[in-house]
Amino acid sequence: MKAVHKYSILIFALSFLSMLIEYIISYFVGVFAGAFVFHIIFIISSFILTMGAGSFCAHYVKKYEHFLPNIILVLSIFSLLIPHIFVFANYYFEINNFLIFSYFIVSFIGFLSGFEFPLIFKIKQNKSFSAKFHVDLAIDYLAMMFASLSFLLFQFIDFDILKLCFIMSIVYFLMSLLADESTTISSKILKTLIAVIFYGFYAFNINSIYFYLDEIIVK
Amino acid sequence: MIYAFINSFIVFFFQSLLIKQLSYKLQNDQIVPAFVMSAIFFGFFVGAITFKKFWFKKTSILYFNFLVSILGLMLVLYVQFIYIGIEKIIYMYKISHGIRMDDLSYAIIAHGSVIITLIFLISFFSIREFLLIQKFFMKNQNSILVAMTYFGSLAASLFYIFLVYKNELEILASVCVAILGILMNIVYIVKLKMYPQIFRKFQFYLALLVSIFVIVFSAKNASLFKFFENRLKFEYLHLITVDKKIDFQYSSYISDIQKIELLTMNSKNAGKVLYLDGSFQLDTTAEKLYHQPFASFAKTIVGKKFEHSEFLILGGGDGFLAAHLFNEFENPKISLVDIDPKVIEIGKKVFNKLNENSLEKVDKIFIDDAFLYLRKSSKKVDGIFLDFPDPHSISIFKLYSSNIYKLAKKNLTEHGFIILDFSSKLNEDYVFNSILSAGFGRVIRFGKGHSFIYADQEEVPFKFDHTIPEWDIQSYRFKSSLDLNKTHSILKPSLRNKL
Repeated sequence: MKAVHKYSILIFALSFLSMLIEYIISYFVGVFAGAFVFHIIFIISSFILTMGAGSFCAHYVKKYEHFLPNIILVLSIFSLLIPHIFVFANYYFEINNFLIFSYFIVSFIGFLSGFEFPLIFKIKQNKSFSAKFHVDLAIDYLAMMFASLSFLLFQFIDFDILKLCFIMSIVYFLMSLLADESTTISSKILKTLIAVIFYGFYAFNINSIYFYLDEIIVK
Repeated sequence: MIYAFINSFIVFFFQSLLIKQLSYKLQNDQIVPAFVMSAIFFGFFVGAITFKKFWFKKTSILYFNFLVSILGLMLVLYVQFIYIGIEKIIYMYKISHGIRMDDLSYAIIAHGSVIITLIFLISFFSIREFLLIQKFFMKNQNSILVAMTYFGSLAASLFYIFLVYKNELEILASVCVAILGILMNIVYIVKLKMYPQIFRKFQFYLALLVSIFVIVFSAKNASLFKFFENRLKFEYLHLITVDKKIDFQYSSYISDIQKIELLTMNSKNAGKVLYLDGSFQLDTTAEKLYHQPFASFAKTIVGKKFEHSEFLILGGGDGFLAAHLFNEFENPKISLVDIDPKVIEIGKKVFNKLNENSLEKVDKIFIDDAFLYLRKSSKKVDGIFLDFPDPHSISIFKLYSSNIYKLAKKNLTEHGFIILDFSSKLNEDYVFNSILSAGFGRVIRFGKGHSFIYADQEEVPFKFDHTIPEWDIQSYRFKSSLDLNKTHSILKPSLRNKL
């Protein structure tokens, strides 16, 4: 694969996943706290604000080649846990605390997502590729468009949010491997093995987890 | 940085405005936002991918900014005048032909596509302006530039929240945002000394004239403060006096679910019509059709078993369902849960004669979200009646999921039952399975003209009184046929199977 294509794939996938995460969080807040205009706009605002802060901070990151894959890995874990986090938050917290908690989670994910695009662009520039800002931006927006349509499409098929988050997490993990240019092959293989065991275990129990969370919702 | 900020602010402000207005008009908060967002991102994408640096000079920023502002202004004017004007004609048509509000939504969708095209063009030119700012002013500061656009969109969202709370300012503010774009154009020309060679004077004076015109026009009418809103209401009122009169119009910001309109028919069958979120809820002259079967079917099925028993009504703050229950059962103890106190107020003050003051006789009224109420409550009742609006938004979605049926079952006595209004937007298979998956033993769909669903915990065949033809038993299902893959759940929002 050409290196320049690798970065385009990274931009597309990460942007797609970030947008999808935002939709999923908005959905959970809408369902558990009511789709109050204030809540939804505040969730989007928190996400955007922290994405802006992340982008701003990305300007000052020095070891960005190490930093990017780690951020993606954290997002991979978080994307898998989103349904769990929100179902349990809804169970444990009163509505106001649930909302505060939601803002906190969305801000954290937004902050990490904010790093992605500027860091990839920096890496590209550093590798002396003819970094075309407008093309990267176009890919970024194309991915967001597809994410918007996908979330819509997703509601017309029999597919639960748990499985969606599971697939998102795997894609995030693959992207972290793709973005990782500083570690050795053996270390990548070790990471992959651990991930395969973990995801395999999760996939094997996904239906039980679904029914467990479904019960927690009504407790 | 400031230019990038304002550029982003303008685009995302219009995005928020459109999402809210279209979601409300099309009664959908799932599909509309996704389409608006897609149109914006598609505009960004096409604008960015077709961008060739060498095509443009520094002065091109001016043209793109000008186009963004003018298109923004056109969008506001289209939404406020042309779109609403056409909507009024549709509205009048509906009234005169007695058509339900959501039956002509395809006509509104046609206008939605015009609006979507406008927002596509705005984002198309906006991204080009943004890329030129990057090219000429912030070449090596991409991170900061991207951050500024995020902050701009954040400011737009927060500004919009403010407007949501100050509803009367919404339209005026959107005109002001369009003006902001035009003024920015002038700032570009003056501050950056980017005088375009050909259209310099023309563009400058046109922008100035449009700005002055809009400012004077708005300022003149700002004495009314709610000029655009007032104009809209006046026009509606004028239109409706032919046939109807608006008694009450109320937008509740405690939730998106309840935007209440109460109309009085001036025709021969003088009655009142209640709309929630623009969606038909009840007509007092025909309310028996969709309230009476709740009570009389329950009476037929359960017979005398539940005399002096306790019922819970979820929704139904208008009081009609409670009235029918009082008529059918002997001294029932009824509790009622509704999310919006205004609906209760209408039930008590406007419908009081029609519902025979049922809300005064009700044991307890809880102002709460039905889902949250069932979660909190540990009180067992003999029957739960779910009288909710159609599932047209995320917030109402949970009221049709298997989760609420589980909660309802938790709050039922051993021989308790539920009856709900069957929404034509739902797939029967999914509704049946959702109810059965909650632990109910049998489910039946009944009703002539309007469908209802009855479910209880028994697992033996129903014994119907087939001599009562109006029950029109349409279908039924037992727990043994449960298919867990075909259920509605909060974790599986595949709700709109029939769209």
